Amino acid sequence: MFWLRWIFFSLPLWLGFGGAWLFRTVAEFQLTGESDALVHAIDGPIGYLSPLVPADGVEGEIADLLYEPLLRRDANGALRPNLIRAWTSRTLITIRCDSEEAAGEAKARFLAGEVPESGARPIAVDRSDSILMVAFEGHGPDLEREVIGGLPPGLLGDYLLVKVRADHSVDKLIRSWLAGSVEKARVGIVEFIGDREAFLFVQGESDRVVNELRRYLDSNPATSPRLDLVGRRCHTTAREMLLDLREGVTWHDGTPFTSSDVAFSYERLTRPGSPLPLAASFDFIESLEVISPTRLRVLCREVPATMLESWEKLPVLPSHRLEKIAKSSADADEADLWAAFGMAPVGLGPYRFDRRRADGGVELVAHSAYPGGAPAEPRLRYRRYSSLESLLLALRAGTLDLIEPEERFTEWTRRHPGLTETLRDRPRFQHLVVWNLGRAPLDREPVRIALARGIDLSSILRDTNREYQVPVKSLFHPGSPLVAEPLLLPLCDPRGAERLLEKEGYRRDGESGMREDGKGRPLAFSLAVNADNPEHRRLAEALAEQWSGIGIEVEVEPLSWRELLTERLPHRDFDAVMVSLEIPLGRDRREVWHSAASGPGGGNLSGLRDAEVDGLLDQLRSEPDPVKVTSAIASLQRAIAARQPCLFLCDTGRILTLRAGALESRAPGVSAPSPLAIGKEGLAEVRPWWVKKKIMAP
Amino acid sequence: MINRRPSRWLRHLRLIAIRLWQLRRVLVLVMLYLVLFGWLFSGDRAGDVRPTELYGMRETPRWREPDRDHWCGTAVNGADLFELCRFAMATSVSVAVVAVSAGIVLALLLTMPLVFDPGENRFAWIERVSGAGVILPGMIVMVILAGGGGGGLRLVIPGLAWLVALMLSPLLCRWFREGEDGFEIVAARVLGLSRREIVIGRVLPSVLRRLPGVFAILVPVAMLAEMSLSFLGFTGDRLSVGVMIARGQAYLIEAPWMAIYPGLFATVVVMAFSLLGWRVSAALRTGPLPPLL
Amino acid sequence: MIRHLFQRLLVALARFLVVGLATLALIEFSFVVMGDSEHHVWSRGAYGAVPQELAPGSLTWEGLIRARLVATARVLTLVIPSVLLIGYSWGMLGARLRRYRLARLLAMPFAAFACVPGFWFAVLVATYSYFHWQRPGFANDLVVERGPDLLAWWHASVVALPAMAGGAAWQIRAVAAVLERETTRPWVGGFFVAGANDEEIFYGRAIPRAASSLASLLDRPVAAIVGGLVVVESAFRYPGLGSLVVESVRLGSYPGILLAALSLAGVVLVATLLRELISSRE
Repeated sequence: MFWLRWIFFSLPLWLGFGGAWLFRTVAEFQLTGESDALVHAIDGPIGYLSPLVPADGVEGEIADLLYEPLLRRDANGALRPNLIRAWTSRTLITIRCDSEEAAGEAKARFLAGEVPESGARPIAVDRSDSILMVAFEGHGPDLEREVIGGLPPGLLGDYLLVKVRADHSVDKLIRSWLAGSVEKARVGIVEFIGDREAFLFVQGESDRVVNELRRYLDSNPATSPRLDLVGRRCHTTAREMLLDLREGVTWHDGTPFTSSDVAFSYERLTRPGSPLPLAASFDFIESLEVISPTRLRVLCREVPATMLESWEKLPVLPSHRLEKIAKSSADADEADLWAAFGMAPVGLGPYRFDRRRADGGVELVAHSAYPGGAPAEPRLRYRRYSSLESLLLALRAGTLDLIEPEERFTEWTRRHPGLTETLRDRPRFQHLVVWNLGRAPLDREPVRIALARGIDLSSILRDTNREYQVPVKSLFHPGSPLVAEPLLLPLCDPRGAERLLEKEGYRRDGESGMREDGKGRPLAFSLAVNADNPEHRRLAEALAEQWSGIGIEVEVEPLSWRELLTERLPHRDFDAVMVSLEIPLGRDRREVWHSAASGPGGGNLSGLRDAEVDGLLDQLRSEPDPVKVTSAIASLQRAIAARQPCLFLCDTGRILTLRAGALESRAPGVSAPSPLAIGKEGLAEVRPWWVKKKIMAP
Repeated sequence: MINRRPSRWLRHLRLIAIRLWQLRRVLVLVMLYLVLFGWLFSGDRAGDVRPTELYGMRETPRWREPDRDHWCGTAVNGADLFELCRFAMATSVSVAVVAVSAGIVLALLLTMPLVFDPGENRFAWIERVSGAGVILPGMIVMVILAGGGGGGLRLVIPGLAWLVALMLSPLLCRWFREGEDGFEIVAARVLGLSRREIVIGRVLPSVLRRLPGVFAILVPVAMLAEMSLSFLGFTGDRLSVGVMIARGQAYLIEAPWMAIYPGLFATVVVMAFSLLGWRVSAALRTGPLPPLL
Repeated sequence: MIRHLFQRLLVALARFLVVGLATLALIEFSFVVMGDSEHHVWSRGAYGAVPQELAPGSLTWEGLIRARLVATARVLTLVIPSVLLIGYSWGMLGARLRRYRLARLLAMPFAAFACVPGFWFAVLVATYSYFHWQRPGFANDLVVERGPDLLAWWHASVVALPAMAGGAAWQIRAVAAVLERETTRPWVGGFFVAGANDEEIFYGRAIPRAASSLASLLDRPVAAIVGGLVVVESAFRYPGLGSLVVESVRLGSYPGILLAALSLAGVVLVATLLRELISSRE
């Protein structure tokens, strides 16, 4: 018992020994596992990685690494092949000749090179009875006129071209009419374009045919048929584009990338209710057809010069993963499926998604089957450090390469220069205050100009530790070769602004100092702003303060992003709203400024309806000549600057913070590494090739 | 000189001197206590020092490592950390003293009305409430109260006082009960004294005699509680050791002394108060107290 | 026996309900009356999903409480048996050698350590780790993804130590006081006269007689230990129930406060229940 007692009494000492053992063991722990990856310190959990929504910051960087666009841009801003390897366009003109002989003669003229007299040569000519089909490379705007004009009128058939459109099943409609029609003998040729359009070539006296057809269509309204008299015409023109996709490309899960994926993406994102409404960008497409696993044929209704920009915008979705969405009918299910996809995305980019970390970060692994060569850095780790101290330790130990800095870190680096360096990405977002032109007093141009003049932007704009802000120089991408002159915005002139307002009848009230019109109504409006965006709130407060200096009362209204997006913007229920738009790389800006987009749910938030602006936007869309495009852009910028449908605040771009001397660039096919640099193409082009510098042992 | 009766004043003075001599050990401890108090509360109290001024980052921080002039180093604005620690500890001590005193008074107020009841189970409800209340630890109660109420001493002091009262009440009930079991109480009953006279004349003085010991033991505990709450940020924007350590953590890599020395200072002061408190309570035979918070 | 067990369980349940109601009342008083919050404890809007700040990934309340409970259980597994072991063994030793005032001597280092603010100790450990081991020191800085998670036990030990110190000091002195009081009873004199020695009287008589009083000390320090965890877990950034209370209070998340506080109260309740069952058997 004596010994038992003393063992019992000595047990607490054993606890102490155990504690000492634990201390020694923990002291010998080594941190491992961080040297196998390029580590990026983030400050918040990574959310959904969606290919649809343009993201900024780290999530945008990760999305660019995971997803691959169909087309890329070079340093001059011109589109170059990527997943779409090549594209060819053809114009197919179908001519109805007067007779078989006339068709034969016309064919001979084409083959002899007499028609057309100059310009494109046909790549194929084919005859079937009295119908001649001629194919040309490309889409010339005057091609039809030259071809038809080059043939003697006697060879051409005399037809009235009638166009019938319906929501669907137009062939059934026409055939059932023809089955019972008395005048069908006059209908020479019927040509169906897809399921919705039909061309009828009517010979001779066409009035009775047209009337009979009209009566028939009126009595069968189920498919909403419409009848248009195109005119005396003997030809139809089909414009098509052939897209050839890159071969040997696979998704991150090993499934081959095929034209079905492109077709699925197009169909999914252009239908009504799509999460990314691209229908307006693809309204030139009549139909899309998969010809082979690597070829698509696109039948075009028209041929805007900005066709390829639309393909650039289309995110490619894995049809084999997302076909469930196509089958699900409930909205809730669809949202869940997109969310599930966003949490574990599958793409075609140089890095594939590996896993989500417990700290809210993600890990990416190099995609070995990436066309052009897998990235040299095998793993990317986006992780959170729970304290500044652990982040600084990792920085000193060389286990951390990129940082999303916060204020304390920035202050620390200011006191300890030399440990980090920064790089600037190209500007990606443009921030504006959009005026609602349908509401007083913002419907008056002098008031809007006064609002612009009353602001000193240089005192408001400032760089944060992650983003730089520069004044807006253009409606288009900075450095675009098509932009010859900058956007000339009103200069800061508070006195000039006050004079303008006085002229418009807004005088200062003696007591309050704020301006009122002749009827005593104050010059005031509310500025809606995204409550979750602290920088927008800061800008809004600063603007309101400066406007109050010239006697304008502005109420800043912070709203949740959801409320802004679903309730205020679609119905244009605001006086003024601060928004960010991604700076487009292309030149088609109809969705932002055209009057056609000013309806409910449209992208023209200000409601600008101006014939000159509309004309310039239409010209930009269709004009192939770069010189004329440059001129149209300059005119558009002058028009927008003059009308001031919005206040242009700034362009912003990302500032990346790196550990000094940590990384270099090693592009595939290049033997020697090069120092880091971000060119005009932006971070997305160079980021996949960044590698940690290997420190050679002495 | 024969049969000369000493004056009444001289007699009283002699009695007082004898009493003081009997309590000499306690008096020495109380003097030490007061010296410690005095040292903490001495010095320049000018200005209401806010933690933001001391720890808010500036372009060029003026902190310095500990040296001969500044034993604990300096804060971000260059203020001597030793003096700041003293000031902060004075705050903690003030809060603790007020809270514990209030708690003891509250406990007495809760138990006194029940003391004159002759029933066996006169203290039953206090013991039941206290027994149930101890299930939710006092620190959690303080965190919810101070954190949810927006922080500040207007919540911390009453909260601590109530916790002290809740913990002390069953103890006071036990002392009152034990006090009525003594031989002299039996004799007093035999002599025909009323319950009221017995309680006020005999039992209450013995209980009250122990209270300074309770006070001395509980003050360091309350100081630790106040420092913990200030560390969590629930005592408002005033200087306290907890706040100094919490804010000093932000500069752990560059200026670790800002988080280390205030804690060391607080440890030494709490240890001094604890030691004195144990000696006082031993001298006054307070007995062991249940653990608080 | 079974009946007594059910009785105790019912009492424990009743106490738990009372504590739950008291917690709700406390939250209402603190947040609404004193803090000007608009959310009452009975309004639905106050109870929602787990805030992002409490869990980086999407966790339910159940998942969050489970994870935090596991972490706190690790600490309590270290603290409570240690306090009981140290308290009873050295309390008995101190009472046995009472003439040398050994109880006070044995309790002194723990009592001295209990004077160290627990949150400062946690910061000190982290500072040591940063400067001496060149490694992040707080509990949430490092996550072991592969291999045995000894680091988790290290973090739990750091949190356990301050809580253990105060509890051990109190337990040693309380156990020693009970046994010393027992050895001053009149029956001891009788055994001396009968020829028994000090050792026989102490181990053979005093300890068995004081068993029920000793058993009543089993759960006394648990509430103070659990209360101390709240601060030390927050200071060491240890993801346990204690830090959940503090984080939930900061965020104003009523479900977090309730669940964490009631979980911790449940621990104390279980300790009290076990003590009552053991005491009743004595």
